[in-house]
Amino acid sequence: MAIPETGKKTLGNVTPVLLVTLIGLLVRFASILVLASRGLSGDALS
Amino acid sequence: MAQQLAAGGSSSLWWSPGLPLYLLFIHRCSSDSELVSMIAMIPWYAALSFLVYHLANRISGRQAGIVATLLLALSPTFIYHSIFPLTQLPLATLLCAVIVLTLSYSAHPRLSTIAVIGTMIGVAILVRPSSVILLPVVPVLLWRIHSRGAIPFGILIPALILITPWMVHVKRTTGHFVFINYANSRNLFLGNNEWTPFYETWYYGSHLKGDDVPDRFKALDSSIPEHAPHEQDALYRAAALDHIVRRPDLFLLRTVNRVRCYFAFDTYTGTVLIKYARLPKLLGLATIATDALFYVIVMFFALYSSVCFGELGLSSRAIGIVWVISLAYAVPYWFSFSHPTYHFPIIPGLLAVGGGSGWRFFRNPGTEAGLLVSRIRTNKWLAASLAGLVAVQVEWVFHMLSRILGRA
Repeated sequence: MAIPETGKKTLGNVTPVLLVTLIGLLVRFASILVLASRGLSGDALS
Repeated sequence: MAQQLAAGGSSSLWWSPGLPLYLLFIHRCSSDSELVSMIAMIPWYAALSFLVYHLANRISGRQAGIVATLLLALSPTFIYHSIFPLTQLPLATLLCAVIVLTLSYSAHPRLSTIAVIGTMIGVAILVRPSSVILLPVVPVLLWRIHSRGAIPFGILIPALILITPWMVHVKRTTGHFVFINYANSRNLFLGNNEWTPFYETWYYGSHLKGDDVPDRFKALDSSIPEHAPHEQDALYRAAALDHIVRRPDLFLLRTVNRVRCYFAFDTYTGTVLIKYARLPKLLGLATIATDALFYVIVMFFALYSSVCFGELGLSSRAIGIVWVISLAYAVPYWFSFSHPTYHFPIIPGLLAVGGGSGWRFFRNPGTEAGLLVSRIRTNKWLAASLAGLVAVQVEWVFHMLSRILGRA
């Protein structure tokens, strides 16, 4: 009898989107750091 | 505005309260620095990323979901809106949530799903009151999928529970009934008066101090704020409606232009980086070009997937739900004033729609390009929609260049 692989499949589905979202989060935090280092505020740009 | 809300008073009632209330909550939990406001936008991006993946995966598979979330992660305009406290990103997330939940309801008709849809619409109305259009549209859409009497109440009740306390607060503060905030009727006026440009209907929304603004318009627009806020609301609305009734031909012309303008590529992020962040002009222009390329690719494949869903093996119901909700959200902008930046909230849904055909194309460009060309030749709807997309972009570039050259 085959062992169900549901857990593995779910993890396989979720991991790439987690990684991509993590890349997106890093880009955003880096952008905030760059803007903060230039002394730019949210009010100035929004 | 979060600080104005904390201070109280009628000045805080000009803009919609949704995002300021959220920021106020975050500020109360931590500090009221601008850095905190910027970081507070990031959870909206994370939520949107998962929703887009879920939607694209549902419509066209896992790879499409990954491609869609990757584009979302790296697109300059989505990065910009994920770190500055503007309403576009929360609205995009809420709209995507409504689409995902509507799809979920079509597969598993549960009352709890309807209640969550109603809650999402209620929050969307607080973020941008024009989202009120979803309150009749989404129940009709759900009704067409599963005719259940509970649908309208299931959506209306949670939405009303969310917006009523704010309306009561406005009534107590001003003594008058106003739907969410005061700026809405002014937006209608800015896009519908005898001086509103025919194509650039947004122009007076952001260029009121320029030398090219007619003196009579300046005089009228500065006389109305001398009245009490609730009177301003009525005066702006009356002035706009008076012009629409007197010149329905111009209203129709501007409305057709507003629809086209809405679907042009957005130049907002790059322009802001050049104008206010004082970053090198070349970087700003590169941002505009990247955003334009991203947008055209997304729209191209969204149209391709939507017209050729049968040949591509995509779900017509899912694609139909994305389009109906997205276009319904866009309608108020076509009657007030329009700018390409206002299409931001509908892009994640269309990104999910186009993800499947886009992934297929980039994985096997040779074969897919041949298929695409033959479909364009044989399918007049596909040819017309893609030609329309290109024409709208060319028209936008022409208007932008005319304005830049006119200023030089």
